[in-house]
Amino acid sequence: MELWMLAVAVVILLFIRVPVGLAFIGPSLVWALADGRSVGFSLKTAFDGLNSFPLLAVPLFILVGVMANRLGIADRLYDFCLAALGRVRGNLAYVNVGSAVGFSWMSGSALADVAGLGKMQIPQMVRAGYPYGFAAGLTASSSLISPVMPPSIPAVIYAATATVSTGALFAASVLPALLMALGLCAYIFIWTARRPDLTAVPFNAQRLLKASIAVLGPLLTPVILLGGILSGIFTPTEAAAVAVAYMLVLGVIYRTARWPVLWRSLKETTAITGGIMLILGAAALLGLILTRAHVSRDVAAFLTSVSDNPIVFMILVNILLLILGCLIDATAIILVTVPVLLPIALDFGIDPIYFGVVMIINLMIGLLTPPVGSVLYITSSVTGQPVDVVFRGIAPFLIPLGAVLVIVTAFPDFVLWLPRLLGF
Amino acid sequence: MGGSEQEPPRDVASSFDTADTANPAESAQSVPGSTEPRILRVWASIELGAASVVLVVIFVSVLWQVISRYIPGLNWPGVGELANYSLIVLTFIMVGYLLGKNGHIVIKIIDYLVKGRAFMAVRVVSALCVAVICGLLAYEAYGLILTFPNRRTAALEIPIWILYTVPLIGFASGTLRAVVNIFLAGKPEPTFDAAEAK
Repeated sequence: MELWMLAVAVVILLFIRVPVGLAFIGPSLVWALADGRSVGFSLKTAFDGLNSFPLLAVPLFILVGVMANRLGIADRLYDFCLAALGRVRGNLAYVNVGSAVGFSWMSGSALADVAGLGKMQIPQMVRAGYPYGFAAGLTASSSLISPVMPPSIPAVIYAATATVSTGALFAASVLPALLMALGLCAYIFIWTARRPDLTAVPFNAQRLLKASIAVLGPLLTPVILLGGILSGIFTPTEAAAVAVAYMLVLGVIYRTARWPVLWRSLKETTAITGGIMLILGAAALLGLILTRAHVSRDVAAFLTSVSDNPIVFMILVNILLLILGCLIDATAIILVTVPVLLPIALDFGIDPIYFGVVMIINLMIGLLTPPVGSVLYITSSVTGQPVDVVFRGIAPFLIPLGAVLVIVTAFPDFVLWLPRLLGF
Repeated sequence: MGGSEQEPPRDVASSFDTADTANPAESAQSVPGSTEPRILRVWASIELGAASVVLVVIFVSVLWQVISRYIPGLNWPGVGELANYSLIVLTFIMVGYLLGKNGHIVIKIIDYLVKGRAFMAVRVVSALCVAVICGLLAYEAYGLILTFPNRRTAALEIPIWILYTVPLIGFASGTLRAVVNIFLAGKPEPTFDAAEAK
């Protein structure tokens, strides 16, 4: 069986709505059998691909995000941001970004962010006079900070696939994630300058004090997570378990950790994890086939025939990933493209940590765009508005996010400054 | 910037409740909840419950590993292996559940291109392909069970064939769900909400 036939079969299966994991594994299984592999080779490869300690961080970080939502911790962050930024014009817009940054330290998934905070924030912004498109677009865009800021689930998957340090990737993601927040705030500033009708809330010191006390516990989460990882007390996977334990402690203190809530959190996490992990296992098989077929070598030969300039290579990678991000799930892209693109990037002298951060930002922007943008659909779902209306709201925010992508791509030292400082 | 109060009550998510379903493609072709037969719904709750318990095992195992580093008396070499295999069990045991609930990650470009009977035909072909793939994978799992009758895992010494029974069950369940989905292709498909998983 030729490799192009495998690729066509995967595309056809994806097109007719076969789940991504099964669309990867089905043709790969036929390829393996046609190649003379024994019965069981494909399943064993997928099985072994999942047998990885770093990947245990995926369900645990998803659980942290789900628990933060269900135990009322996200609400506390929101209250704090509202109390702190109340008197700024366009306050709810800044609160939106601020609470997304706060939540991003606990959650590695944009979906958890937009599903949890979006439900609350978008209607509030609309009632306060913001157009629906702006509110939905901002909420969807700010949710992308979660999968970039550590703990980032795409970073865990990239690190496991590229065999690089998860801690280094986490450290490298901090500044780009903050730059994304800054970019969105700059857009809000320009937008609200033309909207004098948007009023503010008078500053209330007592309210701020109360909200600050309420948010002290959640604010310690990043300290525990990153502090633990960077000081070598625990690995990123272990940090995920510690974060779950910490969420439980907070839930007990806040008296929100009731059995039904915890059980629902487990079931929600399991339902999300099952879909992602099947893709991870299937992509391990597909990746093995691509490696054995020397796809990386052929792609490298093509790219070097175009240019031997690393900047041109990164521009081509950005274009490729933005297109793929619009069409295929981010997890699948990381697993399939990293074994192909990373060796070429290394040949160009590109740092794998920097490459990972650029890849993650590219793919996260794809979450906002049709036809596959899951954040787009969730935003549409939680607000009950059509996808095209939501996307019209999102479109302007692609400008600041695109600008961040350009800056991050153009200045590798900006990305690598923090990991170098921390000794990675 | 006056001082008008800007903070409405919290339970305002229903501001948009009167609007149509989010995805225009979904509004005509999908419904909330499950359309599966009752016996499969019961089986689904068992699968989800088992996977949730396994998730707790992963959490406890990884946490145990952290604690045991500082309390050597708690050190147990099998804990890492237990966590790793638990993740594998979780993955494969959820295959059928997610197929039944329309919960797998799927690319829905075609939803915007075809409608009505053509869309139903796509769903039939898709479910057929899924049934064949899951059936082949169940057969592979069966093959692996026969291939490794005596081999055991390194630390816990669990017979490997027991581990391969999980994908066998998961993909057999997936095959059954896919076959059922062929017959349900004429009905609106369920919309999946992980937050409401049951």
